[in-house]
Amino acid sequence: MSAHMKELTKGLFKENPTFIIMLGMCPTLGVSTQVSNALGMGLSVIFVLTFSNMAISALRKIIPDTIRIPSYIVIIASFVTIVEMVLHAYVPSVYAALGVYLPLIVVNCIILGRAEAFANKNTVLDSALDGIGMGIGFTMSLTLISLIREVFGSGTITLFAVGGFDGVIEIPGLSESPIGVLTLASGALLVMGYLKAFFQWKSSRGKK
Amino acid sequence: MSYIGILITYIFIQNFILVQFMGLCPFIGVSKNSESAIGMGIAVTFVTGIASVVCYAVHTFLLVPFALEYLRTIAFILVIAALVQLVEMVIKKMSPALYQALGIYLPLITTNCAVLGIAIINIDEGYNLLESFTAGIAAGLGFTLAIILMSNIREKLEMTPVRKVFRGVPIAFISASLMALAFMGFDSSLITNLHLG
Amino acid sequence: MKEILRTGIILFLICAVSAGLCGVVNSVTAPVIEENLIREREEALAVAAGEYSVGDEVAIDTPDANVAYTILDKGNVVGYVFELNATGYGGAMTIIASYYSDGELISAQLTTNSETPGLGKRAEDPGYMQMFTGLGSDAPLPSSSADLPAEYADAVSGATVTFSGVAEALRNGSALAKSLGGAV
Repeated sequence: MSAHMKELTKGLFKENPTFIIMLGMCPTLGVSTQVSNALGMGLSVIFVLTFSNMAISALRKIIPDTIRIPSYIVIIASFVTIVEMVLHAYVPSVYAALGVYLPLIVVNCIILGRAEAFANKNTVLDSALDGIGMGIGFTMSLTLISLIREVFGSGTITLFAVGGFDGVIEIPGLSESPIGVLTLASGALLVMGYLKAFFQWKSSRGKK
Repeated sequence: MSYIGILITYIFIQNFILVQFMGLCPFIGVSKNSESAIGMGIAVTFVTGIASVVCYAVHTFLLVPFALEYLRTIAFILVIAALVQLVEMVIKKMSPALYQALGIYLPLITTNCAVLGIAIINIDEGYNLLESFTAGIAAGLGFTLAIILMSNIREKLEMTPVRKVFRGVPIAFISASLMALAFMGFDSSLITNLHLG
Repeated sequence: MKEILRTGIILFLICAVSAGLCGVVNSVTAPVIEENLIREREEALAVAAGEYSVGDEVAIDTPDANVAYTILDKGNVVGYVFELNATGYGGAMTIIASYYSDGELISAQLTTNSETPGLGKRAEDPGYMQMFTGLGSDAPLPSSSADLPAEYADAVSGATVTFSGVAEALRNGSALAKSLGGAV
């Protein structure tokens, strides 16, 4: 079981898809203006990644090598389409906020990358765990970026509305005079640059 | 919107990399020197232009008549993958010199968000065939502009003392952030005020 | 040849299964999406109509507005609710606004827009439209920020383009309500 656990946990830190392998940047920066969007995107990616990994792993002996990329793309695209339709029907606010970045999950390099690097060589169980782990790693990174951007950029934390709670936590002091630039495109790239520098600093210290 | 308006919108105001973050992976990966940046830029512009037209045709003449709009994502990505493969083969046959220059970038373009992105945006914005083509070319040109600027900055950065933890990708992101700040000067009010809407 | 046929068939099968799966999910979600859209529109119209109820759709032929519905008080037409087109700093905007048939604005809400956060975006605030409500019949709707009482100057400052766009759209709406009149 410990070997299986390793497949699950490696995506969280050691091979974190966003900060270490640097894949799937577009949605990471595009939807990280609000924590709720980041969580919606993260959950969609976990779903697509897990199921596409499982499907590709199950079909790995059937799909000939020559047509493997188109086959993977079709499999991934169909799971993305399913997520799109389900979100549109049941969580329209998240669907609207994710916009064009939702269908763009198809070309998220993480998913095709995991299919190519892991799922077509490993068992269904390991591939599913790999997908969940990588997906959670992606979600954590996305949430971290969106937390920084939303807390400092708008002075709020937007979660999902439950009952009487409207889902928005206002941070006193910051919500009156936030650093607005962080919510804009420029701020996203800036936060990403500093976080990447932080991870480089941490890994260089780890080696000593 | 007029054709010039579309061009200005996607080259500057909605620059694919600096505003919409589409195609960020090759932007960071291939921008280390200006030669490969130009190659990548031209290859992307080529594919976004053709893909916009083909995806528009597939959507209008295949998906809409059969009420299959929900298969848009699958259809578009398949079209793009096939198209990239086709372009690769055609270039290889027609112009080996061009193939030498662009060959290594072409396979990367299938998973470039910019291509699928512009195809979907064209449909969402309700552009017609020629407008879609213009938007596709403009998106590619915007990508090219940003990646060439970036590669020049990165070539300069190579010779600049940068703190060790910021060297490489982090400083590239921070430079891109400053470029994005400059691109904020291009606002959609530009289109309104130039009467290009 | 046999190899090509085999790969072709496999790829075809994968595509067919994928498309089939999407079709099944679509048949479940499509009606829900449709329902959501209708409900959203009805809710927005109901909010705009306030204490009155929303009546039938009215055919209009003008670039100023997209849709128009009558609003009813105990079954009698007292005014209209429009989805108005406006141009702001960031391009096109839409406003849902309701009027009495004499052109007086009952309420308005800025919906789709790409105005600058902190400046033009403030026009989304519920309080913003108060400077227009009640005007349009006897007292005219303001056409420049100089026409406004001092208390609203702050809401408009830094976002005059947004203000002009909203004001123009609301004036168009008022004129439209007057032209449609009381009889339908």
